[in-house]
Amino acid sequence: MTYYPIIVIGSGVAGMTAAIRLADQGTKTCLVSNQPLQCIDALLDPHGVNVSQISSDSFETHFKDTVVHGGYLANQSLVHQMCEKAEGIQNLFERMGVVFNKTQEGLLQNTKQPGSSFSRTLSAQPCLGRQTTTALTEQISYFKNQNLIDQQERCEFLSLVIDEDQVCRGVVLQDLRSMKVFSLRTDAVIFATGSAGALYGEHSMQSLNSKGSAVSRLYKQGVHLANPEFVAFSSSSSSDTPSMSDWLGGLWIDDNHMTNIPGVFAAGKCAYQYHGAAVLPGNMILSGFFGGVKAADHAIKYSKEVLPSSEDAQESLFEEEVSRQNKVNLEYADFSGPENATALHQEFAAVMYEHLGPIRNNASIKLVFEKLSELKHRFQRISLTDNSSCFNQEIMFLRDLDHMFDLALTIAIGSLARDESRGVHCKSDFPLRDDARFLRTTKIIYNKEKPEIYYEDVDVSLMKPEENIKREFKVAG
Amino acid sequence: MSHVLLKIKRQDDFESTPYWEVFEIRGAPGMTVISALNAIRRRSVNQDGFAVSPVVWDCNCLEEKCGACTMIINGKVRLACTALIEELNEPIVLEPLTKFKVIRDLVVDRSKIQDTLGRIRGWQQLDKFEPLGRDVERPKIDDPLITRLADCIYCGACLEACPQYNETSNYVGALAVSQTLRHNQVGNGSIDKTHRLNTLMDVGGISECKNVQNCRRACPKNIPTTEAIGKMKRRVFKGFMKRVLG
Repeated sequence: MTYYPIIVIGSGVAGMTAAIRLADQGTKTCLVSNQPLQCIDALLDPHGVNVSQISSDSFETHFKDTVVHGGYLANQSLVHQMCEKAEGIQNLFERMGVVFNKTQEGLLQNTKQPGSSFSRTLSAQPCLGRQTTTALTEQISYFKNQNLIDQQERCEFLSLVIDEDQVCRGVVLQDLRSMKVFSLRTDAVIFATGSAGALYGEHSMQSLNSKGSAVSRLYKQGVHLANPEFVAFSSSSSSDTPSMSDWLGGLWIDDNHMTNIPGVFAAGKCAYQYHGAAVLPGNMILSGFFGGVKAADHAIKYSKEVLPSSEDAQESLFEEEVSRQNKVNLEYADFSGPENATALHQEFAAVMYEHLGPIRNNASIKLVFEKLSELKHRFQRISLTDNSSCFNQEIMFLRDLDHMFDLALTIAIGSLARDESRGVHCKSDFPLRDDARFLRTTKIIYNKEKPEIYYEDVDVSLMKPEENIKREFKVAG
Repeated sequence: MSHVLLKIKRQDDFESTPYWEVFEIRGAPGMTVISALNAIRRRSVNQDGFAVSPVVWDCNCLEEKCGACTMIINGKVRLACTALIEELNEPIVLEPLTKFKVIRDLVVDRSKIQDTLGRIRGWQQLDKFEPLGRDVERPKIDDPLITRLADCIYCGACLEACPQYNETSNYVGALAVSQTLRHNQVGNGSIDKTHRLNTLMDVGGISECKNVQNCRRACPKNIPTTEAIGKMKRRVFKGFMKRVLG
């Protein structure tokens, strides 16, 4: 079986950046993605990148804007490091071939975005996301040519291989072209699998590949989630009803981008640290890139120190997980009944939008549990019409949809418990921010088939709001 | 809008024989080819009333930004996410791209595009993948054509439409030629400039282009590929003369 010191899953901005960083540092890696390169969410980012431009502005002000805009829920030390590197990152983009918009004189053209004290958002034609994607894809090609990056395209992540000490030893993947389930040995995995737009179906403006299924699978294997209730909505024009535009929650990570399972790292939209309760426009690509580099650097350090290496892990560990996943696939193949997966997903998304949409209230949120369990019941009666062992989208979608239920519950539980309004989390029955109770990170842990909610202190080491903060405490189980 | 007929070229896997299948779906105003295909996912019954496996297709951004849904619609290479049903003649004929290997139904493997870009070293070589300060010199780009080339979504429509781009010619295609022009000018493009020009001088290089101009017409982003090819032809010719005359 193939061994890599580090594997990257997800080929968006954060994933590609992490893979390139690993290769540049001489660590051979494998970049796994369930779609071809270039099909990523950053292409839809309407903003650019924030870099302070004028002398009265500084990265410190950029940092403060980010923290304030995010309702003090962002990790301050990480955000501070990111803002400090913003200029260097923008410069690296140019070195990779990105052409930023310039003024007539040749200076960098910038715009002032809501939440920013100064005009500092730089963009490119047709959008920065497009050019960044192109540039990163090209760097991937370069390192593939150097034999430092292997690629597994159209492979879906199914599960982690964890040993008895709860340490990551590898991953189980499924090749969509042959439907073959296989495993890879690795000391560390960097997840960069993006947001969870699919939870809101047609009410989401994110790319269709933002399914959140990898995050959900990890969550059910014991990786903690953070801040799932923070879902951003925006309208593309003033007449439109708002659509889901970002999910700010995700995998819980520490300052080194590692989750609670040793060897499992995360960066980009699937993790939570950089935005808090709202995204400052122009910080999304920046944080994806910065997080990708940071996760790669710490994964290298970790993979060099971990003993024993996964190269020597027992073969049976991998075989068991592969056969477990094969069995799960067979269970789905046995599904039969009058329901249709695509139609049920549409109903699911409508429920999400109605009860966990842009403006929420507790009475409405409470209804979501019953509606979801009813849909889950009907889910068992979906009939599978495709029995092909080549690119069977139907069975993969069934697995994804199953996982959407788990993620939806974390959003519901997080929203119900957070009795305040902060950033994108708006409750009509609790319109004010309540720092005394909720200046905290929500943490959801999957325990005995059920989600448990905890709260954790936020990092206010650099900018202190006035309120008292208590230690981690349990709310409900 | 009443019923819409879709005639789809299907293929069960990469080696099996393709066949046609017709579906009838209920149309709706503003419906695109993608929403029509989605309707088949909801009810996968063909025109003869048989329940069949749902048609397999790729799609991602829905905004003409990723190129995943490139397919042949009524004989023309297009992006399915913005192809409106009401503007198409019936039956609407959907086929996978022909210049790439079919994976299943309308899904093809376009990784060949990436390999071709490798031939022209379609990247900027960096000393170090490290965010550095402002002391790095910024390239000045004053050619508006270069900015237009950044619109490329790597969908492969220009390659599909080009009669010269095929198995036998080994032609790199309009995409790689125009991206050569961009790469020689942005970032520190001079590093691999000579290699790129040499590749375009060689077999499968720019001389394969017979100026049919299909690429220009097929491009969903309306990129002036022919202008870029013209510019590159002059540069390659200059480079060739230099090589010959020393």
